[in-house]
Formats: sequence, structure tokens, C-alpha cells
Amino acid sequence: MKFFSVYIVVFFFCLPALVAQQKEELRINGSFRNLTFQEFTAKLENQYPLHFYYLDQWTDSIHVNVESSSLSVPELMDKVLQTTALDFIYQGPGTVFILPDKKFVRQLPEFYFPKEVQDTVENMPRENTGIEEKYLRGRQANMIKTIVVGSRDKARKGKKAVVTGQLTDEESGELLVGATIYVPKLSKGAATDASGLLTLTLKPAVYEVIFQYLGMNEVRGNLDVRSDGHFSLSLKKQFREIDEVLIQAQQSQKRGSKLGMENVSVKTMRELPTLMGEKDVLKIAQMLPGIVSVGEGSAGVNVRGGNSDQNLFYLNEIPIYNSSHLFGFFSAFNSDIIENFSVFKGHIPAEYGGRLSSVFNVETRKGHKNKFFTQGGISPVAANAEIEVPLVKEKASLVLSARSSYSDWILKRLNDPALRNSQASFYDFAAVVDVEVDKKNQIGVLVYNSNDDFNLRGFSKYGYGNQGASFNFAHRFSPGLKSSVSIIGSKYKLNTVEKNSPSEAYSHAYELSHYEFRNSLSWIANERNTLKVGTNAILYDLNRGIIEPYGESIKAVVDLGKERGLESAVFVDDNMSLGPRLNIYAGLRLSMFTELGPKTVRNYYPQTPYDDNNVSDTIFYKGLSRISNYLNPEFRMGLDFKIGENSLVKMAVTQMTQYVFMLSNAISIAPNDQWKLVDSHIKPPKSIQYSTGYYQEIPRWGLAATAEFYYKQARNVVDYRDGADFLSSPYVETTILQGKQEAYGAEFMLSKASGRMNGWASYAYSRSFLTVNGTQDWEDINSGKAYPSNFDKPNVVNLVLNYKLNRRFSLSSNFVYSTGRPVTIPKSIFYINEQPFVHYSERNEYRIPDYLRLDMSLKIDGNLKSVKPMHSYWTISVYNLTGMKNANSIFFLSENGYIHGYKYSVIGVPILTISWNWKLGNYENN
Amino acid sequence: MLCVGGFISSCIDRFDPGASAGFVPKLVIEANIVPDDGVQEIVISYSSTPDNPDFIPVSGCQVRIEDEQGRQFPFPELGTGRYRGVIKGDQVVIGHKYRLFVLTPEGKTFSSSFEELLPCPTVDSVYYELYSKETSNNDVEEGVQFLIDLKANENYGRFFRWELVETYEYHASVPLQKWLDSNGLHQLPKPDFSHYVCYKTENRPEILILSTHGFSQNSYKKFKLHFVDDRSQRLLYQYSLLVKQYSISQKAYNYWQSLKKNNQEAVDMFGKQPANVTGNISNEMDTTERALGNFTVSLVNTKRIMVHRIEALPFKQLPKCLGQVLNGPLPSDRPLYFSDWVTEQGDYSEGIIGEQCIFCELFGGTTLKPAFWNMK
Repeated sequence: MKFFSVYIVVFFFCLPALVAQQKEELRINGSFRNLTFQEFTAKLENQYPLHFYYLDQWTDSIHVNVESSSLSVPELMDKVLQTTALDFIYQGPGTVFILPDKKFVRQLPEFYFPKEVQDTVENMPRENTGIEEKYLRGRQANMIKTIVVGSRDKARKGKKAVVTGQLTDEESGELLVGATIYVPKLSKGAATDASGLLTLTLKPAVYEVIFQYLGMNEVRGNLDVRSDGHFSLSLKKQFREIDEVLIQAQQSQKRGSKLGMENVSVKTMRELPTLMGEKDVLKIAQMLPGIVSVGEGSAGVNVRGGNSDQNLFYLNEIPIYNSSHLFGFFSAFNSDIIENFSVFKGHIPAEYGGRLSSVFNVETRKGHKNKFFTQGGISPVAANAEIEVPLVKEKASLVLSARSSYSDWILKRLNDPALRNSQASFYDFAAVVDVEVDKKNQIGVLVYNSNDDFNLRGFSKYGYGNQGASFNFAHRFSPGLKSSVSIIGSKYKLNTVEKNSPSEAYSHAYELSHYEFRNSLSWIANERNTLKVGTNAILYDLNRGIIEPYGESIKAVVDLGKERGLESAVFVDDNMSLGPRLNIYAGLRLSMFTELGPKTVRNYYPQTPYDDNNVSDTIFYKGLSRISNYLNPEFRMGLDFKIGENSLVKMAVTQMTQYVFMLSNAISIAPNDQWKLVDSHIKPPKSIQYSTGYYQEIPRWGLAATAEFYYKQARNVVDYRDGADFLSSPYVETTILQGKQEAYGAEFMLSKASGRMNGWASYAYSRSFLTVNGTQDWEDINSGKAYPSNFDKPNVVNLVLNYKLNRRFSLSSNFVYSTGRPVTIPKSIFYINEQPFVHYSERNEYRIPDYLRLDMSLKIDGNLKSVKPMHSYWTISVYNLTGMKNANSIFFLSENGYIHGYKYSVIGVPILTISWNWKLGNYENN
Repeated sequence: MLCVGGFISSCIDRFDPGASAGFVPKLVIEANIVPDDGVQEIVISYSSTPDNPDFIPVSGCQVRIEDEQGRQFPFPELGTGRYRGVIKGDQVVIGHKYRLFVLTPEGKTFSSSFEELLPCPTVDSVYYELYSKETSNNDVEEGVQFLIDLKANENYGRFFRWELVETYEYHASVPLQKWLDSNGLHQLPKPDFSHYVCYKTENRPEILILSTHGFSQNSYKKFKLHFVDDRSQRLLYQYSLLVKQYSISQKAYNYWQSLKKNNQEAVDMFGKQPANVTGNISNEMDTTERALGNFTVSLVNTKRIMVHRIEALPFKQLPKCLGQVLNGPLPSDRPLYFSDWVTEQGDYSEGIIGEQCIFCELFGGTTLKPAFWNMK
């Protein structure tokens, strides 16, 4: 077989091996007369296990006339090329690289040779002298690595080979997630997944390939595919980190084709301006199109017109039931342990389910396996630290992180006496253990705990916390077949003591336990199909708690009851590649939910509202008996079609079902909002989303542009009756109503990932409406007419810019504009007993003023010495630079006979903060 | 090492959402009937725009109340928008149901649902406690918190409402003695104190409702009524509070609660939607057209308490009437009142003084002492 497209072949790495292998030499016998060079090599390749690599144009003028009697390959080649300008390298047992020129460097100094060469290309030695380094760097541009995968013995004739690979950070040895391999000739590529593994099916041949990763030098090389096999390659950090990338999404969107998937890099998180110096992944997510929140300092996000309880937050595999600290001013994820953060809001792979709108995947760092590392930071509200310890060199690592607040001093400076006399605190802790048992087996463990306490003037105390642990075991049966098994436990607790009015004072503690088992099997069936199948089962155990009178209170004891439910699912996802341009994703998730006893369930008279007066009978279900059951098939379809070299069209249809929702009658998530399971009266919310997108890269300017459009419909979405009180009765059906949600929108984003100036600009037009129109009047909200959701913000503009002034100073800014959220306002005034009262408009008929905010930050890195024990950087950040008094809500008070409207701004001044962060090692170390 | 340049400071500013465009007034019917309270009044008006709030009475309605037995009680119009009638004696039966009919001048008939007359327990203790509140400018507001205990039993309903009427004595700053008008200068030989002491009676605006539904007992201790600070003369001489206690239905309770939520509750950190206030009066031809307001029938029990000057209150921030020392030509206003006073520094000073410093009636009270004023 001939490979005429090989440019230059220098297999420096293999020279020592070559010497060793020449001992068992191949001897050639035969007469080669009047042959072109091509004919000569073809004949040899036919008769002997030999491969030649060269360019046709080098050998056009060569005619071969040679007799060989038991000549070794080098001897024969010496004879053939003696009279030509060409040279060669022989790599035993059967590869011949033809060189264009006899002066071509064949040998390099000793230090350049690796210890051993097998199927894996090892790292280059690290410790080089300055001159050597310079020499090497000068050579790198021309150097091509050839990675041999598998062996010919194992090759199956005519069959494609499954190539798996791992890309690692040369310095830390960590696996790189989202690193890509690209085969330009086939316009084909793959990216490493969360476990750092990529998979590609290729016909046995030699391919030119390109490896890329953010902030790493691009590596071009040859991939010699012989049979199924595995390779690993380490990438080296770029010497100058000026051109770092802000969003990774584009890379994966183009080649991974995830419609509606966003990815935020850790670097972005570090540089952008923050409130009170706390780096916050969820706040950055809100700078992406399609993700909004109700207002400043409010917990929860709304993705593509969905309620805030329609998002599933994962920390590795642990579900986080309350993702915020301090009511939403900060997120519950300590940014220092985040390795990667992605959001699925359009096409959601079949392995995920359980929420209607999105999946937020926060992946933790796996930890250095070779050396100790630590980093941390101090901001005006909190301090955090993270350490990474190799437990067994190259095999196992431990990451520990902790963060704690000391924010009371800020509350003491507030104007509001209620807040001034309050205390608030939070902390979170995480431990990650990652063990690479061997090449085939990997174990990951995560333990997480977060906690919040808030004491409002000693009258109301709120506390809540997430705890969780997960154990994951991944096994690779073969390069194309991998399995993963996880056991996850998570607990969300909240407690409230309310003693504002002594007669009504109460205490309440709530607890949700989540026990999950999940497994999956990824299989590269053939060149066209990559399958993932799996199951998962979640046992929810809710203790909704008891409302107990507190102190001298005469409030009645209310047992809100316990609930149990089993959510299970089986899924299959097939990623089909139909030619170089078209990829299809076909997924099916079959989800089931069973409401389990023990529980007391009421039945109501037909055609009557669910209330205490219409109970026809009450049934007690014993332990683990089945009360109600739901089965829902969810289709997840997607395709992407490559129109040209740099453009792509994508389409997706996604169906989702949700079996657990939040009881919240406030506009944003409150710390005492409880999660509740669907049951025999409350049906599971379901949605379907149709989306399409266009992606265009403009390489000349380093720009990427995306446009995505979606339409989403959901039914059985929960809204609340007026004055709903979730603490007065265990029968939640008496307080809620279910309706339809409709959302649609267009999202545009232009991003520049490299250059001194980088960042993105996005615009989203989106609408979201609810209609609660039951068959009877008491089942209506807003008289059964559609009304905008609380977070319906039609126009949102986000601008994120990063400008690297020099290697130590970088300037970043955020600009946010959004339409004000809808509100219900006083429409008229009427008098009762000579007092004026307000009659309100239809629900959410009006809007609060538009929101506008500009933030700036300056990151100052410490000195750039390459050898030093510790590197630190300062971030000076001004949140709300222009001091806009953005309205968070509006409210109305009756004063001296007049109804006065007021707007309430949570933050109405510029907030300057300085925070300090440190890490072990130099500037580049991460 | 760390610093914060601006503290997180939330702020509240006036805001006009501009809801007046396309305004359509709604009919408002206020009909809280208390059969044992003598003459009962029903008030009918139109709602007004938020930026120009006004009471717009509706005249020419035909109004009547009907009981389940078909007995009708007409409420003829007495004045603009006010309709009066009497239900008394053997017509007042606990457990009987009543409803309201209103025929508007446009020919629309509005009617209410049937409402049951519920028994009302007697008023238990009404009292006050000294209370100091911190304000947003770091100041402390001193005053008293009025409280009520409720004692009912299972014979009564679980939903209650209170109305408060306060009466207090207040004084002008100086008596009348010397003034200049178009007839010349007048000087009385002795100061005239006839405009010096006034009494003012007002309805408190608070919506006060309580539900003991779900409580272990049908009673409640220390239900908060209203707070009176020491920045006015209310508590300086004598204060009287009349508490009217009503027993109401659950529907009426829900109505008042929604009204209260929408009008009298402070800003909520987590932002609740306003409740949809639905009264029980609607257009007979189109039940989606509801009148604002509500029809209720309930019995009442009352209690009056007296509060004499509370020594513990400092009354540091009482508004003061300041005179103007004469210096140069006299102002052209007539009448012009003269007085002398002692300044804060203890000096004797003389000059002109505003008429509101002399005539206490100008603050809305009357010099007529209420009949109950001398009771203990």
C-alpha cells in the first residue's frame, strides 16, 4: 500500500529502536529491472511486509535497476538511492521513510530520544537546558509525530478499526476533557469526553491528524492505524498564554454538534468581573444566550423560558437541589474545583432526564497525579482553598476544597434594619478521589457538602444544605466498549424557625434523600454508529417534615407527611455518522415513575375543587405499595449537516418529563421552598422542544457565529393558587394548579476565542407564557388567559470582553441589557371604608424598567518568574460600574390616601471589590 | 488587604408604571352589613386611576338585601353613592343567609352569593405594650403596640376581623390672645383657650384579620393590632381605642386577606405575585364581570379602652409650632396672630405665629369632648 500524501517523514523517535530491531533483519531476494520507483515499492510491498512513505514528486525521475540477493532492507535501499539525492530511514520491522534530501537531519542529540517506544507516544523529557529548549522549539514546527495504533496481526480484513485515545496535559498528567483530534482528509474528528477518552473509527491506513486543546500547542502528526487500539498523547502548554480561549462550545459544537450546548471555561470564570469577588459559574452562565434569572441576587436560573425548578444541576454525578448560597447572590459551586462546566439546553442526550429545561454539568478537577498542588482565594465575603495530593504517583489523586463566608460585617452596614440585625453564613466542602487502577479501570469518588444559615433579626431562621457522595467505576472492555457504573447518594435539607408572631411561631425541618444507581455502556459498533445504552434508578425519600408550634405558639401541629417514589429510566442513544457531512443522533429514553407508600391519599368528589370540603374518601397505602405510576417515552433526535468547511446546520427535537418539582409561590426561589414528587393528583410535567441552529466560523478573523431558534411546549407545569400555603396541609393538590407553558426564541452569538481581545456578544429574543385554564373556574389563573412567565424577558443582550493589556494585566468587562421582567401592577384604585385600595392588572401585564449593567475588572498577575513557589493574582472588580439603580421588583404602598409605586433595587451603587487568589507554582501552573 | 468601596446598599425609589392608559372604571360595592348596629350603609362607587385616585360615587342605583325566606330590605339612596337601610329585631337571625342586589343606572344587575350571619364572641382583653422599633436611618422609634386576645369556643367560626376607631386629645401650641385683621388689632384681656383642646376620631386603616383554622384552640394571644409612636400628640394626653370584632366567613376572610396582601404588606424578599382579589358580587348577565368590594353580614362586639399619658415615652420628636420674630415691616396677610413663647434656649421671644398653632380644629379635630372621654 502506498501513501502518496505523506509530506515528510522523520521518525526521530524510533531511531534507537531501529538499531535494536535490525538484528532480526528482513532479507530481500529478487531482480528489480526497469521499474519506476513506485513500481519498485509496490512490488516489495506485495512480496514483503514492507511499507514505504514518500512523495511522488521526489521519485518521478528515478528508475530502479537492481539485483538483490539476501540484502537487508537498508542495504537494498542504499543501493537504490545511491545515485539519487534522496535518503531514507528504515524503521524495523517493515517501514521505510524516504527523505527528500541526503543532508536531512537523521540524528539528534541524545536527550531527544525517549526511553521506549511502543504503541504509545510518550512525553518528551522535561528538563532541558535553555539552549536545548530553544533548539527543540525551533524544530517543533517541522516535526511530525507518527502514532501507531494496534498491530497488523490483529487487523481484521476490510474492517474498520476502533481507535481510542487519551490526551493529557504534559505538565500535570491530567486528562484533557474536550481536546480534539481532527482528520482533515476525511473531515472527521472526535473530542475527548468527560473521562478524557476519544473514539474514532478509521480504515487501517496512515492519516494526517491534528490534536488541539485550549491553551495547548496544536500537535500535527500521523496516525498509523493498523487495528483496534489505544494511544495516548500529551499536549504541551502554549508558551505564551495570550491567546486563550473563552468558550469551548464552538469546538465541540462544530464537531460534536450539540445543539444548544454551552460550555464555560474556568479561565473565563477567573477573569470576568464578579460581585464581591466571588467567582461564580452560574453568573457566567447567565451571560450566555437563553439563560436568565428573575433578578439580581435571586436564586435559580431560567433556561429557554422554563421555570427555575426545571434545571438539573450535577456536580459530577451528584444532583444539587439548591444551587445557590445566600439566596442566590453566589452559587453553591466553589469555582476552584471546577474543571469544566457545560449546559445542555437544546438537544439533551438520552442519558439525561428528569427536568424539562436543562442539565447543568459541573465537573470537578481530578487532581494532579504527579505532584502536590494548591490554590485558593480571599474575597470580602468568603475565603476558599483547594489542595490536590497525589495519593499514588500516576495512579491516584485526592482533591480537597473548602470555602467559608464571613459576610456578617456586610450586613451590619446595610440600611435596612431588618438586614442590619441579621446574620448570614455559608460554607461548602468537596473531596474528590480519582484512581486509575490500570489502563482499563478507573474509579472516581466525590463527597460534597454545602450549607447556608440565615437569621433574620432573630425572628426567622433559615438553614439549608446539600450533601452528597458518589462512587463511579469505569471499565473499558475493549477500545470500542466501555462501561460505567455509579452509586450516588444526595440529601437536601432545610429548616426554618419562624417566630415573628409568638402565637403563630413554628419550626419546620424538611429532608429530601436521593439514592441513585446508574450504569451505561458505550459501544462503537462500527464506523457509522456509536451507541450508548444505560439505565438509572432513583429512589426519592422525602420527609416533608412537621410544622411544630414553637414557644408559646398555639399553631396546630401539621405533619406534612412523607413521600417515596421511584424514578427509573432506560435509554439508548445512537450517534450515526452518515458520510462526512451528516451526523444523526437518535435517542430514546423510557422514563417511569412510581409513587410508593406508606402514604395517606385523599380522593375528591368528581367535578369539585381539590379542597378539604370535597373529600370523598381517604385511603392509606402501606409501605412500598404502588400508589400511582407513570410511564413516558422521551424521544431525543438531532442531526447536523456540514454545509461547507466552516459552516454547519443543526436540528433537534427533545422530549422531557419531570417527576419532582418545587413548591414555590414566590417569583424567585426562597430558602424554605420544598421539592415535591408528582403523585396521583399532580401529573408529571412534560415538554417537547424543537430547535434548529446554524454555525459559521470565520477563521480569518478568528470569529464564530451561531444562530439558534427554538419552540418549546410544556404541559402540567405547576403554578399556585392565590395565597397558597404549603405548610398548612399535607395535601399539596389543594394549593396548586397545573397548566401549559409555551416558550420560543432566537439566540445569536458572535464569539472570538483568541487574540488579545476576545469574548462574545449575544442577543436573545425569547418569550415564555403560561396558561392555567382548567375545565372549571377554580382551576384558572388570570381567568384562564395566557400570561407571561415571571422571567419572560424578550430582549437580552450580553457582551463579554476580555483584553489582555500585557502578560500581567488583563481587563475584562460584562455588559448586560435585558427587558424588565413582567409584573402585575395596580390598575385602579377603589375605596372601602374611606381607605384606598388597589385593584391589580391582569397577571404580569406590565414590566419593571429595563435592566442595564456594566461591570469591569482588572486582573493583575504577580511576577512571571518561571521558578517560584507560589503565584498570586489580584482581581479588582467593579460591579455595576455606572451605579444603575436597576429595579429588582416594584411594589405599591398606600400613603395618606395615595397609592405610591416604588421600585426596589437590590444593588444601586457601584461595588468595588478586591480579591486575592494564589496558587502553587508559577504563572502557568494550573 | 481587602476592601470594599461601596457597600451593598439596596434602595427604594418612587416609580410610576403608567397604568392609566386605556383605563375602564369598575363598579365598587362596599356592603359590610352589621345588622345589630342600627342603620346600615352600602357605598357604591367607581374605581379611579392610580395616578389620580378619587372617590367617584355612583348615584341612581336600586339597592336591596334579601334573605333566604325572600324578605327584602330596601336600601334607598341617602346621598351621593350612599344607600341606607335597616335590618333589625327578629330579622336578625344567626344562621340565616342574606344576599345583595344592585341595579345600576346602566341597567346591569349585580348580585352577591348568599352569606350566613355568624355569631360573634365577646371581645377579650385589649391592651398595649411599650415597643421600640429601629428605623432605616439607625434611629429608634418609641411607641406602643396595641394587642388583643381572642377567646372563642367551638360554637363560633374560626375567622375574625377587627376594625379600630381611635380618638385622641391634642392641644394647640398657644391660646388666642392678640391678632390683627382688617378691623384692626384685637387683644383679649385673658387668653382664650376655647380652641386649645381638640379631640379627633379616626378609623384606623389596617386590615386586621385572623384565622384560627387548624389551631388547636379557637383562641389567640397577643394578636397585633396597630403601633402608635410618640412622634405625635396621640399618646401625650389621652387616647381611646374602640375595637369592633366581627366573626366572618372563610370566603370573606380570603377576600380581606388578599386585599391585605396586595395593599398592606411590605416588600417581600422573594417576590410574591399579588393575589387575585375576588369578591362575591358579580353581574347576573355576565358572571365574569365582578364588582370590586364584597358583601358580608356579620354581628359585632365592641370594646373601648382608654390610655392616659404614658410616662415611659419620651415624646422627643413632637412637631413644634414655631413663631416668627418680628423684624422689619409686618407681613400683609390678615388676620395676623401674635404670641410670645419660650425658645429652646429658654429665652423669651415674641412675634407672629401661624393660625394652626392657635386653632386646634385646623388639624381635623373638634373641640367637643366625646361623651366617653371621662370614663376610666
